This record gives sequence, structure tokens and C-alpha cells, in this order.
Amino acid sequence: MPKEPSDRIELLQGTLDMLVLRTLLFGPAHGHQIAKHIQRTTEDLLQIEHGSLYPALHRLERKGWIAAKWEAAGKDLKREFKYYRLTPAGKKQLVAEESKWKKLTGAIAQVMWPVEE
Amino acid sequence: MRFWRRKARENELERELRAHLELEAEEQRESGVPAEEAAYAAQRAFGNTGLVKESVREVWGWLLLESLGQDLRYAFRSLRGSPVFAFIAIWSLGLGIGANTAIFSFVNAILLKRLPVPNPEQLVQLEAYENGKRVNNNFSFPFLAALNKRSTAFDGVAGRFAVRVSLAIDNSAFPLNGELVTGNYFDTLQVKPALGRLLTKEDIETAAANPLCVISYALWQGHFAGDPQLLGGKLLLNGHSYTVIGVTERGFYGPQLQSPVDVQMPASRMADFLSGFFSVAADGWKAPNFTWLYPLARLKPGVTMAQAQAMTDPLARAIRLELTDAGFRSQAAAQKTSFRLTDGSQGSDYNSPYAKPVTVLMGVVILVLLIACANLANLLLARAGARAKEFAVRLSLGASRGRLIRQLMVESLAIAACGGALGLLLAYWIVHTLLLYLNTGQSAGEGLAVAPDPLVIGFSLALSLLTALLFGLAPAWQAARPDLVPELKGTSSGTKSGVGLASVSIRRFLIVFQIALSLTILFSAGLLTRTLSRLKTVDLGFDPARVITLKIDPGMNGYSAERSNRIFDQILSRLRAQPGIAAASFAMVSPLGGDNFSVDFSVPGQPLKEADAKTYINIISPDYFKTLNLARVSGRDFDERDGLAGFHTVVVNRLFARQFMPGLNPLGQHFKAALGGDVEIVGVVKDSRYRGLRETPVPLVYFPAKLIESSSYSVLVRTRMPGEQALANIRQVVRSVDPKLPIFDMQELQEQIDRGISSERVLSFLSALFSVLATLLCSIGIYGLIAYAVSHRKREIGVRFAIGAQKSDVAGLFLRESLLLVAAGALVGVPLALASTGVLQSVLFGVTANDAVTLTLTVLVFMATGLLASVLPVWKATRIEPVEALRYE
Repeated sequence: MPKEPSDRIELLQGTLDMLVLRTLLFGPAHGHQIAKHIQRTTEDLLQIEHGSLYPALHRLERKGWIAAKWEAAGKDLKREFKYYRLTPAGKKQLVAEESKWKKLTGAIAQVMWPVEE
Repeated sequence: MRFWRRKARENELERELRAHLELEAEEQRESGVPAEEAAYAAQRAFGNTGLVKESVREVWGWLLLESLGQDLRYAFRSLRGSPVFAFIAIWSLGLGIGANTAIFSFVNAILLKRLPVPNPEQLVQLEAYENGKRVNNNFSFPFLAALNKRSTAFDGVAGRFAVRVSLAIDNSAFPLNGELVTGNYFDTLQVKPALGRLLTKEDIETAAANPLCVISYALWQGHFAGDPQLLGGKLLLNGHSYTVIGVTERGFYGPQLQSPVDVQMPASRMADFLSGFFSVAADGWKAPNFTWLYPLARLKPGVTMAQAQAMTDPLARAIRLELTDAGFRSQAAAQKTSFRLTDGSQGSDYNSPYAKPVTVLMGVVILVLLIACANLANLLLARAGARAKEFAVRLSLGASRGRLIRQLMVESLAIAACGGALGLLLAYWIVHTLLLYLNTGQSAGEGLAVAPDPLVIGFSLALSLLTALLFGLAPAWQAARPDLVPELKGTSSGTKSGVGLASVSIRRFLIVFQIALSLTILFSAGLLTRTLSRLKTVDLGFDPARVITLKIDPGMNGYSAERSNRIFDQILSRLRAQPGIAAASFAMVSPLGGDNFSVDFSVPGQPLKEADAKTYINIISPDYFKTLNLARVSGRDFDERDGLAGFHTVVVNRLFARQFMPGLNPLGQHFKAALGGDVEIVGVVKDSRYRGLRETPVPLVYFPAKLIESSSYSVLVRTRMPGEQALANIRQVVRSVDPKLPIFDMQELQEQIDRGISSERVLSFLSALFSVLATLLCSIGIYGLIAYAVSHRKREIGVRFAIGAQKSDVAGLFLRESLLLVAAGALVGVPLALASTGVLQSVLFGVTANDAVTLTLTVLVFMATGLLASVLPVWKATRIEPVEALRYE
């Protein structure tokens, strides 16, 4: 692994939260589904270890931005998964994170590619 | 519960992760990965499961800590923002807890401490009763020896007697606290030696030829620097040489909790130490009618006190009958005696004068704590009411009610923690000051020793937490439930919102509760203070002003009887020669010094009335009555002849004459006393207090010193000089007679008398202090409530002014409200006060527990307090401009 594990985790923690919240905007999902979704939509660019999702999920749950419920699923409803869904507070937090992210990237873009006046 | 939740969480996490891994493995297989590889691949994609679990656990822990830390920081910030509130809250809680802890330390020291011996709960004392009244708690040597031998209930019945000992080393004399003990004393108490061995029965029997002694560990370390060579060495005790055979174990300091014993000697050597009254034969210590030893017995394991009582009473009676000789107390009288066992776990002859006051104080202090808590609850409710808008905003922004409540509770806990810390500091300070106050004028070792110990600290911590929960929960619950919309709109501040009304009712209830309790405290304080003033102004029968008392015991130096007498004569004549001294005399019993002596007697021609044929006595020199300004009723005082052969005379007090020779002229009457034989009354004096201030005067017979000899007396001197000078003068005179004579307990007579009421002084002082505190807390509460009412009803006041109300009308409105509160408080408080002060009756003197005057005064004080507390907010109310008030929104 090229980067320091702590670096990677730090970088990902804030953005990972945002990604998870975004993912859940479309509807409830369990941990595996979320991981697969992120992988798919970023076309495998964002390689995150599935396991690192779970601390994020639990943190978000504690903060009240997502809520969890065990539900039966799978082909014959024999298996149970812990489904997470976005709460109203979580929706607000997503909006806030989004705008923060936009500001951040905007600022970086200004530095990198200043607009010629 | 925490643990169970953690387990459940762990299991759930395990389930979740396993479900993930299984699903992933399944998908891997579906995409063609061979079965054994699939699980491995899934694991790789997942990452380190252990690490993941750790991270999740960290999240759980961290979040909790983080939010608690947030709450704490927020709590301190908001407290700093309201410094007045914080100050009052922390200090009222601190005072309540501090007072509680301090008094509890005393309770601990006095009521709960036990002797530092194995199984102190097995120790019992013995008392003799007659006609339901306790007559004796000391017994003769043969009595205790017989009881020890024949009783099956005890593992040993020992006897002891405290004496003052003068240890002479080179040319200096050191006063020690000593104890004469029976042979089984150390066995009964189960004390071990730290060095050498302890006294046994054989040592008692052979003590005449070979006097042995045992010293305490403290004395060994302190005085002799722990020198092991002391074993087998000799000590000069009261002029007699004793061999030290052992040192008692560390931590044992005798059977009396508050008076440590330095040295134990065999009971058979009594004559060496009882130089005073009892210059009796060498065998006097085992005389069957000489009751002097205080018993301590240890119950056999498995025997309860009730069982032992049933076994001991008949046995003791039988022994008493066998030992009684035909004396003044007939066999019939001896048969009437019954014996009772009492608890001995706190030591021998333990009758602390502070036991009852401490219990009373404990009650008062608990009340004060309740008042402090009510005050705090009030303060918090008021504060919560003011922050209702803030809470509404936060709730609407999405804060959970639970979180809000938790944050308020943390704030309460922060206050409780600060209050508890302050309380602990105050407790140390109060204990220290109280000890100084109580122990003034007492020689070292006689005073009370109190120190806050772990039990006390635990108590105060528990108290802090309890108060935090008590007053944190209610306001927190209230505060987290405001009606959001009216709060946010701001219309609630002008009207009585749901919360506002409920909150005000609770606050009113709290105030009434506070007033009721404070009334009880103030009433009790009033009663106790009046008791003290009554005690101080009681008619003593004599005048203690400018009288100095001091104890001299030449017998302790080993002087003979004649030499002692000569010394006393010389001291008196030299004192009387001093210009600054008006009169000097000596007496065996210093008035109100706590000593008392009584003898049996019989009046010829009068039938013997059992318990009545006993009188209290004093042995005096001439000029005793002159020294004390004790008025004479008839006859004469003693002079130099009285007491010598042919002049067996006594002086009696009026009560004696009236009680035992009614209708006769007492002068010239004869009667027979157990001491002195046949005597003639030559004088009658006024009744006076003898043992204590509270007692009713008793019949008193004064014997001349030459008739019944004692070698230790209290010298009484009436001086014309101020205190310090007089003391120095007297000391110089005594030293001029014999420089090696130790002087004990020299003080002004008034001081000695005051010492007898030290517990009343403490009670009165402390209860007055507490009532001031309680009243202060109440007035703060009333102030808060009225101020709140004024600010809440600003619009109403503005309207009133606008339509023509006068300032006095508005003022009257609120003053009436305050008076109503006090009246409600009085309504509850007066019956409460009357009910609870019944408990005080045994402590009171000169006032009854339902004294109407004190009660009325108390209620009036509270009315005044209520009015005073409302002055400021009411004044503010009258200054309200109608225009501004109506504009206020």
C-alpha cells in the first residue's frame, strides 16, 4: 500500500462519511451493498477495504445521521442483514458536507488553476 | 447493564460482519472463483476483521467520551456565564455538605467508634440498680472476683480504676494517666504485648513485695524513645519503685476512647495511688464493702447479652448478699439491688456528654442539607425557565431530548462536584475550629480527638452525588419539555406558559418547604439558646466571681499525712497573708467540678428510709463558705478546733435539715455518719449547686478536714486581682512552700463551671449558626421567586400603572405574595417544629419544648425575612415605566 494507513484513513473518514450518506440517499442498504455501490459507481477507482466501512457506519449511526434495522433478505429470505437508512438529520448533514466539499475543491481549484481575469 | 449492552453490541457486530463476508464469498463463487479460494478472496477484500472490530469499538468509546466532554465543557462555560448563580449554587451546596461531613465526623468519633480490641461488641459493663434508678457502676474486688469465677456467661470479668500518676525521673515530675487493673484485665480485653509480657493474676497477688507495671506503646515510644532496655527497668511512680515487665501492643490505649492510659499497675497496689481520701489499710483494695473497680466483661462466644443478663442478675445478687456485712445498708436493702448489663464496646464508663448533642445536631444538619438542595433546585428551575428559549431552538435544530437532559445533568453534576469539593474543605475547617472551641481549658489527653476519615469522605461524596441526582433530574425534565412554537415566537415570556406555571408552582412549593424546615431549625436554635442563658444565670447558691480553683496532691510525691497537712496549712496561711487575696480555703470537692462523694448515715430516732439515708458530702477547711460567699443561715463556720477530738462537728445545708430533721432546730442535733462516726451539727448554710448546673440542690453535709483526712484537695482562692496576676501570685506562693509540688487544673472557678455546660454551649452556638444559614438560604429563595414574578408580570404592572395604580398598590401586591409564602411556610412549619422539638426536651433547661414565646418570635423573624428579601424586587417593580413595560416583548 503506497500511502500510510493512518493517512488513508484520515483522508477517507470525512469523505467516506459523505459517500456513505450519499449512497443511502437513494434508499436503504446494508454494508455490503454500500461497499459494492461505491466500487461500482467510481468504476473501481476508489479501492476501499470493505471493512473500513463499518467504523464509519457505526459512527454515523451514533451521530444520528443514519438509522439501522435488521431485515430479512436474500433469495429465500433466510438471511438477515443490518440495513441502514438516511435520517432527516443525516440528510441535512449530507447537504452541509456537500457544500463544504464543494468549497474545498473550489478553493483547491483556484490555487491549482487560477481563473485568468 | 452496561456490560450486557456491550455483549449484545459485540454479538450484533459479529453477525453483521459475518453476513457481509458470506455474501461476498457467495458473489466470488458466482463470478467463478473456486470455493476454497472464495472465502479467502472475500476476506482479502474485506480487510483485517480484528482491526475492523477494534475500530468500531473505538468509535463506540470515543463517541461517548467526546459527547460527555462536550457536555462538561459546555457546563463550565455556561456556569462561568452566570457567576452569581454558580457562586450561590456551589456555596449553598458546599455549606450544606461541609456541615454534614463535619458533624458526621463527630458522630463517627463519639457514637460509632469502638475500642481497638478484638471483637469489641462482646464487651459489656455492669450496673447496679435500685428502684429503677442506677445507683452504681463500680464494684468491690471480691465481688468481681466471685463473678469471674462463678459466671458461665463470661470469658472473664475484669475491673479497672483510673488514677493520676506522677512519674519521677531525676528531679522532675511527669503527670501520667494510670490505671489499676485486676489480674484478668489483659486477657479479657485480649490485648497482646509488644514487648515483654502483661500482668497476670499472680502478679496482683505478689504485688506487695514485687510491684510490677505495664506501659503503653505510645508512652514507650514517646517518652522512652522505644528503648528495649526499659524492660526490667524501674520506674518511680508516686514515689514507689515499679518494675516494667512489658509494653502493650501498638494501638491499644486503654478502655476509654477519649482518655488514653499510659501505665497499668496491679489493683493490689491501690494504696500507692489513692492518696486522697483512702489512706486505708494495705488490704483495703480487697475489702468487700469498698466499691471502686469499674467492670468490663467479655461475653463467651455465642452468648447474647440477653442470655448473659438472665444469668448474671441472680448470680450477682447472690454474691452481693454473701458479701454484705451488717452495716448501714441492711441485707434487705442489698436484696433490692438488681443488676443490668450494658454495652461495653465503646469502653468502660463511657458516658460522653456529647452523645445527645451530636444526635440533635445531625438532625439539624440534615434539615440544612435539604434546604440547600431545595434552594438549588429552585435556582436551577429558575435558570431553566430563563433558558427555555435556548432549549426550544436547540430542540428544533434536531437535538434529542435525551441529549439535552444529559447535558443538564452533567451541569448539575459539575455543580455537585464543585460543591462537594468545597464542602470537604469546609468540613476540615469546621472540625478544626470546633475542636479548638471545645477543647479550650482541657488538659491534653482529656479533649476530644476528631479527624475526618475515609468513612466521612465516602459519606460526603455519596451525598454530593445524591444531591446531584435529586436536584438535577427534576429541573432537567422540566426544562427539556418547552412548547416550541410559543417559545420561539417569544410570546411565552409575556404570558403564563404551560411550563412557566408548572415551574412556578413547584418553586413555590419548594420555598414553602424550605421555610417550614428553617422554621424548625430556628425554633430549635431559639430553645437551645434560651436553655444556655437559663443555665448561665441559674442561682448557684454561691458567687464564683474572682475565685480560682487548683488541685494539689502532696500524696503523689509520697509525702506522709502529717507532711501533707502541714503543707496545706502553710499554703493557706501564706495565701491569706497576700494583700491581693481576700480569702483562701480548701475542699475535697471543688464546686461543680464534676466530682461527687456520698456517704450513708442514720439519724437516731428516725426510721431508716432506704435510698434516702444517703447524703452528699464535702470535706473543707475553715473559711470555705467565706471564699465562696456561700450564705450562712444559722450557727457558725468551722474554725481551727473543729475535727479534733471532742469537736466532731459538721455543717449541713438547709435541704438536709429540712429533709432529715423536719421541724427541729438542726443546731446541736447529732447523727451517725459512715465516715466520722457520731457528729454534731454546728451550722446551717444555704443550698447550693454541687455536681452540675442542671441538678436540683441536694442535701449536703460538710465535714471539717481535720476529722476525715484526705491528702489531695482543691484549693479555692478568692482574689482581688485580675485573672492572670492572681494565677501567677498563687503559683508563686505554692512554689514557695514546696517547689516540687505539682499543681493540677488551675483555673478560674467560672471556667470550671462553664466546662460543665460545654455541650450546651456547642449546641447553642452551632444551632444558631445553622439557623442563620437556613434563613439566609430561604431569603435567597424568596428573593428569587419574587424577582421572577416581577419580571414575568412586567406587562401586567405596566398596565396597572397606566390605569392609575399607585406605587404602594403595586408594592403591596408583591409584598402580599411574599407574606403569603411565609404564612404557608409557617402553617406547615409550626406543627412540624412542635413535633420535632419534643426530641429536644431532655436537653432543654428552663424552657419547654413548646414554648409559645420562642415560637412567636420565630414566626415573626420569618415574616421580617420574607419582607426584607422582597424589598429589592418590589422596589424595582415600582420603578417600572408603564410605556416601557407595555412595549416589552
